[in-house]
Order: sequence, then structure tokens, then C-alpha cells
Amino acid sequence: MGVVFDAIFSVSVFLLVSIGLFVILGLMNIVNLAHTAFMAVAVYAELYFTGHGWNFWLSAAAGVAVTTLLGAIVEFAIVRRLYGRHIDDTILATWGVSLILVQVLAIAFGSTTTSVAPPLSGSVKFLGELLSIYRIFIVATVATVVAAMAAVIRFSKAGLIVRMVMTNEPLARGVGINTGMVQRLTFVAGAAFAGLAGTLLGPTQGISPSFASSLLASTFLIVLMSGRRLSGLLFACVAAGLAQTLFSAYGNPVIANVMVICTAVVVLRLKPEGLIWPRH
Amino acid sequence: MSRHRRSRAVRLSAICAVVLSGAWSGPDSQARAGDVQPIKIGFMLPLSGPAAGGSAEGGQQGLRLAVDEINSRHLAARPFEAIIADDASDPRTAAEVCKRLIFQDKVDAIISQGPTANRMACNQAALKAGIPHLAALSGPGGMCIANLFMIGPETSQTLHTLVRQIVKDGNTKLYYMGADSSPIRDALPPAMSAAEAAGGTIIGSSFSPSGTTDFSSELAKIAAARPDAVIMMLMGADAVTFSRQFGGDDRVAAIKRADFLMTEKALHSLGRSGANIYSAASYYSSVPGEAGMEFKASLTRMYGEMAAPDVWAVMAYNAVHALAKAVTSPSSGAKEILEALPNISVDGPEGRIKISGRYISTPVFVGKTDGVGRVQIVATYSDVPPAAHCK
Amino acid sequence: MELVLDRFCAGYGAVAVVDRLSLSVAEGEAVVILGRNGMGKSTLLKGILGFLPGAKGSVRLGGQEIIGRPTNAIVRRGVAYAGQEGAVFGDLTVAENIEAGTLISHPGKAREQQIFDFFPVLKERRQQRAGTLSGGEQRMLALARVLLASPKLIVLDEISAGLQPAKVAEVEAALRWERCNRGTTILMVEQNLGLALALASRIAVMKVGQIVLEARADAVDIKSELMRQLAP
Repeated sequence: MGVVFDAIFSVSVFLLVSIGLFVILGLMNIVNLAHTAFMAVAVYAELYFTGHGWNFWLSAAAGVAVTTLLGAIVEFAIVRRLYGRHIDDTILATWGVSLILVQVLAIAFGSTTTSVAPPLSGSVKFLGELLSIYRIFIVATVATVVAAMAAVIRFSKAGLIVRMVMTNEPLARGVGINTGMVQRLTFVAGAAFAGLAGTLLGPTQGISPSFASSLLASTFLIVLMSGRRLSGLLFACVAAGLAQTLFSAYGNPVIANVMVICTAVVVLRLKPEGLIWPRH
Repeated sequence: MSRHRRSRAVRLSAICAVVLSGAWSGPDSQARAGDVQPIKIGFMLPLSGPAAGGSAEGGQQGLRLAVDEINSRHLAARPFEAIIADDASDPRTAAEVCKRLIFQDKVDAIISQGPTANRMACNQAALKAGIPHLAALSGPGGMCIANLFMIGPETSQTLHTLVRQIVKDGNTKLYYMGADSSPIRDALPPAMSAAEAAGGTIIGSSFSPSGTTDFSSELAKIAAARPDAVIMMLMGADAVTFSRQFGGDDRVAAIKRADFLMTEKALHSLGRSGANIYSAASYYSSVPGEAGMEFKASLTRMYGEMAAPDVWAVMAYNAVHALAKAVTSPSSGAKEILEALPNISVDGPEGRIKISGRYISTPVFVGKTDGVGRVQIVATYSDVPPAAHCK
Repeated sequence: MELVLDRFCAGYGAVAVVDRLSLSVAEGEAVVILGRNGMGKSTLLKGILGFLPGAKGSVRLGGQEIIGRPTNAIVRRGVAYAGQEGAVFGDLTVAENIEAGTLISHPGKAREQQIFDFFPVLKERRQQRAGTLSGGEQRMLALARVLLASPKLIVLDEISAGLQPAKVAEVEAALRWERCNRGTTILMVEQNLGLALALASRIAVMKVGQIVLEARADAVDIKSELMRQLAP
């Protein structure tokens, strides 16, 4: 039973980290390799504010705000020049951004590992298993964010505009949508999601400038598996989370990471279009 | 014409500069001619790249403090001078840096503080040139190289002391949670013997890859194994990640923790979720005694708020003082130092260390974090000998 | 709305497909551009709509210069366009495609009903994904979207391509209603000579990037002249 909860948590973490990458790739055709560096900035902002006596939730909100602002600056200074360029250029440029950010963090805060205290402690007993409250909180937050995002995309006018830009960008311009602005906002939203991921995962991790960088490869593959659909992202995270949890629990955690990547490679070989339902 | 005039002006000013600088340095260099040349020490450590951080601050401070003390109190037969060099966390750079230190800067000894690969890359040139090389850190034992001395405890000295202390405190069933690296896998069998010798057993072990962000499966395995205590042998951020998740997981709330690789600072950053963690080291900033207090006070005098009296500072400090004791006459050089080192002992901030073979016998302190993650010393073992003796 | 092109050049990269072309469409007029394949007709329309970066010359829309303006800004001045390809959002439903037309115009339910009256098949397939419609149905959906935008200038690229004759008649009726009742200006590229002659007030023939013939649609002998011009 514990394995089931661990798997749910693992899926939630993958979703949390990949959702920002997902919106940026889906709407802008840009692979943002600076995503985990944005997460690191968020967690250091959180660390900075908690260190100055702010409570956790306020510090987390400030961390998200700082990352969102950083996203806007990076968009204005760098990403704006990449629209319409080949995807390789965007990979190189955002990778460069991530190297710079990680170095700046190392200079500003030092390379020593530190950590931030979780705002919720204790656990509850459920079906004979002790579940950490903070982990339940993360799972619930991710579920809410994903559900809200699905609802916005499906039912709101903003969601319709987003889907228009995703399926046919020139035609979206042709019906009067400022697609450039949509893409700019998308990048900033992606950065805000990185901020959310960084500040939420902060209390569960050792914090160093290379925070979360070990998640970049697997989430990148997850986003490729998603087929640029939210439902696809969900399936991809479930596949990766199951591979991760089951191989760690019943095998060897060293193999588990490799298995996540193997799963992605096999899926992309069999279904290059990603884990999406065929639609009618 | 004007070009000719300009070149003459350049030449004239160059001559002036040479004359002036010669006049300036004249008396000094004359005075030095009768004096002894300083012993040059090259101190190599990672100041950039992935291995940077951790040791950098303390190591440099400890080194500088020792050099200052030696020169002001004339503790050696020759004055000391230190050159600090960055190995960029890269073995190839380390090899180049050491060649430069030896052949260009003509250092008489090298002190290094960094990854094993960098140390070994550096030592190729040092060994060939017959230059003593002091590794000012703790690490695995069993290494026997003519010019290389470890001025820090080897793994068995601290780890086995830690294991013995935990067992002695009534935690007989232990779990070994290690990083997936060969030195840490290799340290398991001897740790097992140490546990058994003390009356305990290691009932299970896991190894997790570097960069693990979610330890829930490992925690589930630990909860199922029901040990009395877990020995954490994780590196860098992983150790803190594991401790955080361990501290937040009530399935393992009754299990005690012992950490082997976390720094005092990292332990402190854990706050409440890092309470009651055992650890062992050759130095903590809370070690009792006159020498320890004075060491901290001296560093604070030199560096104010930036002072980092940590284990790195102490090991670099001890290494320089060991060299000073080996420089017994104004003619002492690399060769004489190498001959003298095997019989040297140093009274450092933590107590007396004594070079024994290629390692040291050293005090080992077992600490336990209090409610806010500060290390309090619970047991002191003086003169813990190294396990591996070179023939 | 009046549209005036003066020495207009447009193309892809360094290749100017439309070369110093001048053409004016008066308010309320319907101008149909004919021409063989590869003469630059579609490029001309895309250029006017601002899809092609690097277009040069002058394009005045209702008296205002729009050259170099982004497509979405041009569209918001009251232009609606259906291109030859990619004229529907394939992943979106028919209803959502129709909604796309109303993003800037907010035409109201009555107008929507009227559009469904013109194209009843769209009403039946409201919840179907546009990408699964037949080619002809997709053309009608594109036209419905254009009409719902309540534009002052309609720009259509071969709207009748792939339509059965009965459906061509539906298209003709819809556009004719639009002209008569709303006074909408129309600029369209067509292959269907019959539809062109039925709708146009003026016909222009395009060859290698330029207009080679302009004539009133009710001119005597227009048909034989056009046949001569369009013959291979």
C-alpha cells in the first residue's frame, strides 16, 4: 500500500516539475533548459525570505514572484530573439541561461548545501499507512493546479486562445490574436510554474545551486512523451512515476533512474506522437 | 622622424623604470641575501567547478592562520610563504596546476584539499620531483605513496568510532544508507566488522544514485527493516534531501540517525528535522579545550564574521604546522621535510595528531545534534590510530 | 472598406513573387483575381494580410498605411481572411472554430443562426473536430468563420476549391447576401470562372507577379477575353 502512495507522490512531483516545461514547449516550441535553474532561483528566494523572518507561505509566494519576474526578464533579454528560430538554438540559449543562473547563485549564496524547514509537519494514518502531511499537501496542490489548468484550457476563452495558438499559430494571428504576446505570457507563466515547483519542493530537498538539476533529463523526456496535450502529460508522468517507484521499491534505485529514461525511449520509439488518445 | 623619437622616449623611460626599481629593491634584496629563502607551499583546492564550496573558505583561512603563526613566532627554521591555486574541480587542471607550482613557482611542498582524482593527478608531478604532498582532508585509507601524507582521519577512524558509539548507546541493529559510489560501497564490509566487534549488526543497506530527489522508497525499506539506527553515507545535497525527507516521515520517526558525510553547517541548516543526529569527525567547532578556543579566536581576529572554524580549516592548519616542524634547519628543503614527516606530531585545535605511516592517529569526536541542529559532543576518543599501515 | 496597393512587393526570403503590383479595390466593390497556378495570387493575399515579413511598397486600408503591421493588428481593422491551406483549427471543434470568428466582432446569436442557415452541415457537426471534416466542409467552415467576424473587407483564397456545384451555390448566396446587405468589400482569388463572374464587380488577371488585365465583370466579351488570358 505504501508503494501506491509513493507512486502517487512521485507522479505528482513529475507533474509539478514538468508542467512549466510543457506549456513553454507546447505554445512556443521552445525547450526551456533553464527550467530547473528557475526552480533553483525560486528556492533560494524562499530561503532568503525565510532567513529574514518571513513565514514559509509568504516566502514561497515571494519565491514564485521573483521567478516570474526573472522569467519576464529572460524573455525580454534573450528568448524574444529566438521566436521562429530552430529548436536547437533555443536549447543552446536556455542552457546558457541556466549555467549563468547556477553560477550567480553559487557566487551569491555559496555552494554549500543548506535547507529550508517544511511549513507542515506530522503525518496522518490512512489505510494503515503513515502519510506525511506536507507530501499530501504537495499532491493536493498539484492535483488542483492540473485540474484548474485543464478547466481553463477546456472551458475558458483564454484556454480557447491558447489552443488556437497551439494548433495553428498563423491562423490564430489571422483571427486577430496577438500570438507574440501569448507566447511572451506563456514563457512567464512557465517560469511561474518553475517557481511553484521550486518553492514547494524546497523543504523536501537539500538546497544547492544545482537544485533539481537531476530532474531535468527525466522531465524533458516526459514532456516529449506528452504529445503536447495535458492528458498526454498526465499519462507520461504516471508512466515515469510508476517506473521510478516500482524499480526503487522492488529493485535498485540506481536502476530506477535509468528505467525512467528507458521507458521514455521505448514510448517515443513506439508512439513518436506521444501518449495521446486517438481522437475522433 | 617622430616615430624614431617616440621609440627613444619609450626606451629611456624603460631604463628609468629599471633603474628606479633596482634602487628601490636594492637594500631589501641585499638584506635578504644573508637571510634564508622562504619555504614555499602550494595549496591546491577546488575554488570553481562542481567540487567548489564546502572546504574552500575554511581551508584557506586555516592555511593563512598557520603561515602567520609560523612567521610571527618563528616556529620553523625558514619563513613560510603560501601560493593558493584553483584546480577547477578537474583532474587534468589539477595536474597542470601542480606542474606549474613545482617547476615554475618552485614550491617545496604541496597541500591539497579536494577530490581524490585531483589529488592523484597532482601527485604524479610531485612524486617525480620528490616534493612532499599533504592531503588535508579525511578519506578512504589504504593508500601508500612515498611522498603523500593524509593529514586527516581515514574513513575507518571516524566511521568505526561512530558505529561503536551508536552500538554502545544500545542501538544494535543498524542500516547502511549509502551513496552509489565505490568508496562508500567499499566502506560497508569493514563497517560491518566494526559493528559486530562492538556487539551490533548491520541488518540492511541501500545505495542511491547522486541527485536523488525522492527517497520515499528507501524510507519504506528502512521502515520495513526496523533498525535501531541508520548510518547515512550520502554526499552533498543528497544527504540533506534524505535527512529532510527522513525528518518528515513518521514511518521512521523511532529510528535514530547517524551521519557520516554532512558538514556541521549542513546539519545546522536542517534545524528541527535534523535533531538528534549522531556524527563523528576529527573536529567540531564545539570541541572543548584551550587550543580549540584559541584557534577560533585567532580566526575571528583575522576574518571577523567570515571566520569559518571548520574541519577543513583545522586540517589545512595542521598540515602547515606539520611542515613547519619538519623544517628544522635553514638548509631544510623538500628532501629533508620528507625524511622528517613520518615522526612528526602536531598539537592542533582538536588535540594532538601524530603522523603514523601515511596517515595520522588523531582524536575523534562523536557528536549529536541538539534541537536546533547544533552539534554537541557526546564522546571523545583521543589517539585513534589509522587502520592501514604502509610497510 | 477601401484597399489600395501601390508598387507592392512580397515574397519568401529574397524571392519577390509579387513584383511592384498596384491595385485598388473601392469600398463595396468585389474584385476577383484570376490567374494560372504559380502566378503569385496567394502570395499577394498573404502579403496584404501581413503574413510575409519583408513586404514592401504601400498597402492602404481605409486610407491608412498597413504595410509592415502585424497580421493581428491588420485583422483588427476589420479584415477577415481565409487562406488556401490551414484555414481551420484542425484540433478544435466546429463550434470552437466558429467562436474563433467572433473573438473580435461579438456578432450575436442571430447572426450565428443566420450563418448556420447558409451552411446547415456545420450545425449538424458542431461538436466534431474540424480536422475530421471533408475538404469542402472545411472550406465552408472557414467561410463561416470569416463571415462571423463581421468584417469590412473579406479576403478569400480559392474558397470554392473542392466544393460540389451545389455547395458553390451556397457560398455564392452567402457572399452575395453579405455584399448586398452589409456592403462588405471583397477581394478574392478564384479558379471557378463561373463563381468569379457571378460575384465580381471587377476582374483582375495576374501573371508572374503583376496585374496584366483589369476589366468590369459586366463588360462585353469578358468571358472570351478571360479564356484567352488564362489559356496555357
